[in-house]
Amino acid sequence: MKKTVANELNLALDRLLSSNKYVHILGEDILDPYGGAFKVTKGLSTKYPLQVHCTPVSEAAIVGIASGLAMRGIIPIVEIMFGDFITLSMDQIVNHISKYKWMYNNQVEFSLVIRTPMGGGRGYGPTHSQSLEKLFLGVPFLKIVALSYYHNVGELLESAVVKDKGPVLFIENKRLYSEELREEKKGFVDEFSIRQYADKDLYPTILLSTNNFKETDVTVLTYGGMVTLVEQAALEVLIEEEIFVEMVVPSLIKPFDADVLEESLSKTGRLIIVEEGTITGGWGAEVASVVQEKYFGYLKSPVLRIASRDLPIPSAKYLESLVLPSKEDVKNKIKRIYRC
Amino acid sequence: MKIIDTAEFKKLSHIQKAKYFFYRMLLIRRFEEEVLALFSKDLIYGTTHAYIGQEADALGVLINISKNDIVFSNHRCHGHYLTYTDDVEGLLCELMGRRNGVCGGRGGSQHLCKGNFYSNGIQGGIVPCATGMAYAEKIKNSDNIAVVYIGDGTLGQGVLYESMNIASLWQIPILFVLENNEYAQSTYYKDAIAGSILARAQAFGIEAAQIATTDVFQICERAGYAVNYVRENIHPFFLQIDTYRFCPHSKSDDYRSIEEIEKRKELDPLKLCGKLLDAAERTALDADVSNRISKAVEYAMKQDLSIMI
Amino acid sequence: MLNRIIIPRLDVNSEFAIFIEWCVEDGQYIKKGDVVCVLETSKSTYEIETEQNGYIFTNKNVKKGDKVKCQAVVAMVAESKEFVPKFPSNGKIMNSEESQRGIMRVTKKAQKLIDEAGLNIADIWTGKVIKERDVIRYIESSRKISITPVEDNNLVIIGAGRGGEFISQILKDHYKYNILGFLDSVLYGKVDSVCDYKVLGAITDLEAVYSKNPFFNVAVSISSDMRFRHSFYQRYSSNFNFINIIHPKAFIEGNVKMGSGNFIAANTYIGHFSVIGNNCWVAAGCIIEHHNSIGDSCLLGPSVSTSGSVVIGDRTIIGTNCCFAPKIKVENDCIINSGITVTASLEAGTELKIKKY
Repeated sequence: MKKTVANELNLALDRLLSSNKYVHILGEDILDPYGGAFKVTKGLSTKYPLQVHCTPVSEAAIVGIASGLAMRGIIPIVEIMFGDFITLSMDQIVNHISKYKWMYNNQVEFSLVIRTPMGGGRGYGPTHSQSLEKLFLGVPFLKIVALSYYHNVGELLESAVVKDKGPVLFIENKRLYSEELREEKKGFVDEFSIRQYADKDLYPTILLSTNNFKETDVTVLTYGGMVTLVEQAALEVLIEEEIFVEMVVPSLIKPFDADVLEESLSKTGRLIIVEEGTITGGWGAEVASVVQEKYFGYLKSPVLRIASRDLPIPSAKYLESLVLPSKEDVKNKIKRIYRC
Repeated sequence: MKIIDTAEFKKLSHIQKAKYFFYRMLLIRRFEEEVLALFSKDLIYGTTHAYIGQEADALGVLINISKNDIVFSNHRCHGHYLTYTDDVEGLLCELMGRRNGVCGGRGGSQHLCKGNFYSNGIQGGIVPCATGMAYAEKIKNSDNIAVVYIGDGTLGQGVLYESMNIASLWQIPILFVLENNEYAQSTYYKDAIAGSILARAQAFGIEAAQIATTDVFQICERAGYAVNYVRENIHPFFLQIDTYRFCPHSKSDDYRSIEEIEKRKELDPLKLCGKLLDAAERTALDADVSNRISKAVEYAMKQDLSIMI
Repeated sequence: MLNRIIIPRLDVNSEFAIFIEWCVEDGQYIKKGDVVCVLETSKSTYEIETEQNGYIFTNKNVKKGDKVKCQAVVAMVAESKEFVPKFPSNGKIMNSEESQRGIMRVTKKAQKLIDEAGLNIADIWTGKVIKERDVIRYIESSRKISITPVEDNNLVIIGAGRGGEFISQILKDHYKYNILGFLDSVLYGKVDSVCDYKVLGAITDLEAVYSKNPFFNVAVSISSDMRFRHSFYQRYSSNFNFINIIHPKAFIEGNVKMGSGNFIAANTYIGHFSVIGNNCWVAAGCIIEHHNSIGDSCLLGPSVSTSGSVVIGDRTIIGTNCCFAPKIKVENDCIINSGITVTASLEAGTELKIKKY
């Protein structure tokens, strides 16, 4: 079986269910033979019938039920079929899940993961293509983890479920499901040198360079599905103008530790943040604020952001490509910031 | 007077039960009155939702459950809290923002947690949470049930119906207790609820019953049936208790007519229960309760204020 | 009536499908409903059927393992046996050999320099994207030096790693050179000597070392970086004598021709009338049969076996225990991973990889 993101997640869920009978999965349409809208849960309801629960179309209730389970010793993994539907469970996430432990003065424990696919680029239209994780940036105590094919996605999920003792929103970009995990060979993945930032905690940050981590010109920070765009752009600006790019790809995007940028920023002084959510009040806006507060001395130019336009995401292919970030956007910004 | 469990309670004589009920309801009554007074004296910060008049709903239902069962309450939770935990000091400290309050001053009046007691200020949102808790108990094979208290206002929240659907579908041991005090804040329930209340639960295959009384003994008996039903059948039950509050929704937001309130006071649960006792007993118990509460206030005033950790 | 067999949009998530196999022969008469070929996407396998009876003409450009995009024309079904098909070349078929070959990527700046200097990319090829500084470095490093050493018995070993260690022993035990010491860029300054021979300097210090201790002979012990080995030979072979290091327990037929700078390890057999070029590294236990020809700067791992009349080009890297069928030709710059049996000729730059356990 190919090591695709979807398959690796499926294997991780299998391991989780088999290792602990109190790990339970809730979601819509996750029963076999259908096995979930993106097949991430395929085969699991057959193997673990008591631990996999197929729910009615009730996002608010299933997330609420998961919070009750979590407070009473069950470890729930909730699948929200499309990230766009997470708005239906907003109250549960904002007013319940993220608050119980703190407002009850740490009298309850809460291990809970909500996994959901975000992202456009498939023509599914305005209500099935969004990247809404940015809406949760201001919610205290909620962690947001986003996978990419440079991370060990199975380990990432397992960390979120069993090692992390708090609630985690686990973002899977739907375009990445059929992508194979990138395998590092002698410090390289294809044309990029790759290494892991020395993370002490559960959610690694991956660093990529088109110049072997030696002198670099531009730092590009991104996560999740945008990795594909950024790596293509990085290669093309290398070929076209020998601009050397370092990519920083965290998996924990909230709370985000800007320290992972320090080493690269100290070399480049130029930062571009690329995200798929809408630009206003996005993740890039938050990180840019933090960076200019902490590392103003390093900066040679303002921090630039690339994100979707503040519009619903259209369905027609050409229109969609104008709203979502494109490789050309990234290339142009890299060239522009380089000349600053 | 300490809290006693269901088994012990069943062994008491009728008079002893009356005494027990009277004391515990009076405790809630005097506590809530004191809390509202403390607000006027500026000794409590924030807001509260007093339980005056509804005491029998707490006692009548919760006397039937055990310490291992779960209670999930809403913004009007003091009555349930005191009935389930007897923690007068802790609750008062919490309301007065003290470090040793139930939740260290973080939760305040509406957001309490102690042992298996939980409350939150989002009345619809608590329902799926309580449902999940009951489901966890079923998964763990623990024989415990959950009781969730909702109000007539909650019948407007969609997630209540999502939860009832799943509770019935998945055979979850949860008891929905609807305290219909006829007013959701300032809205009369008939202006907010279409159709039949019981039919809402029955539509999901959930057995439903209505008690229109403030007599704590009658509530105790009917609720006892409901609790056993849930525990034995591992299936939800919907219990509607028609009740009335004599106090405002929170503070000074009461536009009901004085005549209406006075009329309902004739059915004050304390009055009904107190009839079984003689005047001297009632006075003695009242003194007992008041003494306890004023001691608790003294105690709370001396405690350190909350700190941020 | 002509019927084209066109790849449909198979699923919304896949840009292309992998062509698994043909189920028909070119020119075969097929009937409606017959399965023509099998494709695979990340989701599932698909059988493509013909909707028409007739003679099928397969697109010769489509082979097992190729990637085919939606709307690619893989075959045509015609009523007449005499039909001459013309398949469009619209970029919708990606041959697997193309995707197998290590694509040599060059930045525009580097390409400009390469064109100006008239260089050969393969000589500069670093394995990753070639940048302008790589070209500059190459130009610098391939400047020939103007030394004409006097012929003597002095010898310097290039590389003091593990290769250098055993090369020094072979030379000590079986050759009569006066070994002055090692040149090693990593170990110089860190260790004083290796196997009792001094580390005289970094490899880049060659000219400086020569000026202090002149030498005529050079033995290159480096085999892990064959590109370096190749460029080093290119640069200095016209100045120094790059000796052949042949283990006494190697068996080389008398009529074998060999260039300079080669290493042949123990138990290796080189058969009649074979020709070895320059600067190769042939590990232990290889069998190079008769009438073979191996080019320059090749690396053969242990137990490589070639049959008769095999031709291998320059700068080819062959892993352990590879086997080569008779008479095949392996062009320049190929990489063949361990354990592979090669039964057909390979174009230049082919990389053969198999998953290993």
